Amino acid sequence: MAEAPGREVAVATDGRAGAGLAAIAQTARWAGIAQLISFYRYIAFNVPRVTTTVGIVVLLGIAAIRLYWLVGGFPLPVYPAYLGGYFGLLVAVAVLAAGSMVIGLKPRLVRLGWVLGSVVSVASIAMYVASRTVGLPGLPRLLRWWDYPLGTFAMALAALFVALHLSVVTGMNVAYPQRRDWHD
Amino acid sequence: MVVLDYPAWLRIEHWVNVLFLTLLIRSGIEIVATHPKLYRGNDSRPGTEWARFTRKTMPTDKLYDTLDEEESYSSLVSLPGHKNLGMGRHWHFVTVIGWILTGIAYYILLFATGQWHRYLPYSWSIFPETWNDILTYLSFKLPPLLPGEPLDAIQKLTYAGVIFLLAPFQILTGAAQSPAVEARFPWYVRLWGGRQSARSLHFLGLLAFLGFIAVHLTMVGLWGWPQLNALMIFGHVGHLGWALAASLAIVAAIVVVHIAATVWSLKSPRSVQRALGFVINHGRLVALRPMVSRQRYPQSALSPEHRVNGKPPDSDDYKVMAVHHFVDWTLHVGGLVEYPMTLTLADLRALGDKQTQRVLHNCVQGWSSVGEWGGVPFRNLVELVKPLPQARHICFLTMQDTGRDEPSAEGAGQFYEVLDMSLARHPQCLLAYEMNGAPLPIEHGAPLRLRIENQVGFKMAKWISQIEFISDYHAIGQGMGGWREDNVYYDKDVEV
Repeated sequence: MAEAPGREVAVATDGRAGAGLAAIAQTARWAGIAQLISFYRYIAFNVPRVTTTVGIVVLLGIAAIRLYWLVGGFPLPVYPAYLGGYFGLLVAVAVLAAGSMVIGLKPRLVRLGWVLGSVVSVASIAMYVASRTVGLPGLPRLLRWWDYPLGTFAMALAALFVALHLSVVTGMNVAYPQRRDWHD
Repeated sequence: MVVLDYPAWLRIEHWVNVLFLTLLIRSGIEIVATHPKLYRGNDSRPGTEWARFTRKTMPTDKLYDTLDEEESYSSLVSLPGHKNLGMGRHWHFVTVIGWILTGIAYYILLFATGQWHRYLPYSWSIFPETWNDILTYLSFKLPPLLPGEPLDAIQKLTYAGVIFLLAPFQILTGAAQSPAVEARFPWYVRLWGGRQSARSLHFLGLLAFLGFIAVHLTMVGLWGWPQLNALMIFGHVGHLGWALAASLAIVAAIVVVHIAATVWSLKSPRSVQRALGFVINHGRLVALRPMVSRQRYPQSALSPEHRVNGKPPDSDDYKVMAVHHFVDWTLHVGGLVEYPMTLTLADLRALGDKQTQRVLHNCVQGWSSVGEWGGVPFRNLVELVKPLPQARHICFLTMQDTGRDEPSAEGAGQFYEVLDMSLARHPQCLLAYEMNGAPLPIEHGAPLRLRIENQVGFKMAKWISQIEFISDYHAIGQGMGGWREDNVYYDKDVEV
C-alpha cells in the first residue's frame, strides 16, 4: 500500500526569520494543526451525478430568487435601474453556468460552469452584505435590513454552492462527467 | 392538561443519552476506520465504493487483504482510536445496549406521564407554524414557543423526528448488519437495499445525529445556555451562575468518562474485553444465538468479487500441497471424540452428498459479499467421530502462521478459532472445499474452510488442518477462544 503524496511545507532554514518559521512549523506539526487542516484529504466521495445535480439545483435556486425579485417580488416598490440590470445579469450567468455544468461535453467547459457558478454566488453574497452594511447607491432602506428571510435563504444557497465547489476543487467530490479512478 | 415541565427522569435520561450517544459516535467511527469505504447493495467490490475515508491506495499487482486497508484514526474522533476494532466493537455494543434500554424507559415514561405532548404534534397547524418559525429564524430572530409548551413548532417536529424516527432508524440499520439477523431473515437485509446499503444508511444516520447535535447546541446557545441548562439540570430556572457551572461540570464529567474509556482501552484492552464482553455476550446469546441461517440467495446475486481477509500460508509445505491440488493434504479430527480420524480431501468428499449454499458473507470489518459454498455439512463429520458428552467446543487449527503470513496483523502464532458445539449442527454449518462452483481458491482458504453463516467471517477458519473437540478453550493460546480474540480482542461469539 502507499500513502497518497503529501504536501510538504517549505521552510527557509537560513537566518533568524527562517529559524522562526521553522519553529512555528515545528510547533504546528507537534500540535497536529497541519493534520487538522489536511483532514479533508481523508474524505472522498464518488457521487458525481448527485454533486452536479445539487450544484445545478442550488444555482437555479439562486437565479430563481433574482428572477422573482426582477419581475416584481423585490421588497422595495422602486429600485435603481442598475439593480435590475444586476439581477438580470446574475440570472443569465447562473443559467449559463448551470447549463455548461450539465451539458458541457468538454471537461474545461464543465469546470468553467462551476467557476461561473462560484463567481455568481460570491457576487450575490457580496452585493447582499454590501447592501446591508455599507449601503448601495439609491438603496438606503436596505441598510441593516437583515430580517428578510428570502435574502437570508439566497445567501445560504450561495454559500452552499461555494462550499460544494470547494469540495470539488479540493478533490473531496467529483462532478459529472468526471468519475473516480478507483480500481484498487 | 399535562404540565410540560422537566421531571427528574427526563433530565436524567437527557444527560445519560448525551453520554451514550457520544460513546456510540466515537466507537462507531472506530468501526468505520477498519474498512473506511461505503458501498451500495450487498457487495464491496473494490472501486465501487461511493465514499472513502482513507488516504491509502492499494496495489493492483499483488495480493493485499482488507487488514492492509485499515485506517488508524485519532482518539479525538474514535474510541479508542489507533486501529482497535475489537475495542471499538466492545464499546459500541455495550453502549448500544444501554442506549436502547434508556430509550425504552424514555418511551414508556413519555407516554405514561403524558410528556409525549412535548414532542408529538397532534394538530395539522404544526406545519404552518413550522413554516412561520423557519421564516423567523431566517430573519435572525427567535420564534415564539408553542402555547404552554417548552418548544417552538420546528423544534417540536425536529425532536419528534430524532426521537421517534432517527433513533429507531439507527437501531434498525444496525440490526441489518448482524450476520445472525441477516442469516435468519434475509428479507430484512433486502428491505434496506442490501447489507452495504444498510451500512451506508447507518453512516448517514450518524451524520444526521452529528448535524442534529450541532444545531441543538447552537439553539441552546441562542435561546440561553444558562436558562435551558437550569431547566435540564434543576428542573427550574433559579441561580443562572449555578446552572452554568453545573452544565460545564456535567460536560466535563462526560469528557472524563471518554478519556477514561480511551485510556483503559489502550492500556488494558484485555480487561475491557473481559468486562464489556461479559455484558455483551449475555445479551447476544439470548437475543441472537437462536437465529439459524436460512439463506438461499439466487445465482444472480453472486458477487463478482469476494474480498480477502487474511493471507494464505507462506510455507513450503503448503505451496507443495497447493501445486499438487492438495492430494497430500490431510485433516486430523480428534480430541474428545469416540472415533478420532484422519481424512483426505477425497474422504471428505465421500462423506455424503455435496451441500451448496449461496449466502451473504459478513466480515468483521464491515465489508460483505454473496458467495456459493460447496462442501460437507459439519454435522456429518460430527456424527462420524461421535463427540464425547464432555465436548462443548470445537477448535479449528489452521496452517496459517500469522506472524509469518500476515504482516498487517497485530500478533503472531498459529491461527485458530473456537466454535461452540451448539453451532456445529446448524444446517448451514459447512466444511467448504468449493467456492462458486470451483475448488476453493487459495486466498479463500484452500483446501478447506469453515462456513457458519450466523457468525462474522473471522470465525470461519481457512486453511484448516486439524479439528479438535474440546471441553474448555481457556488453555489454548491466550485463552480467549481464538487467535483474533487473543490478539485483537474480538468477541468469541460474533452474531453481530
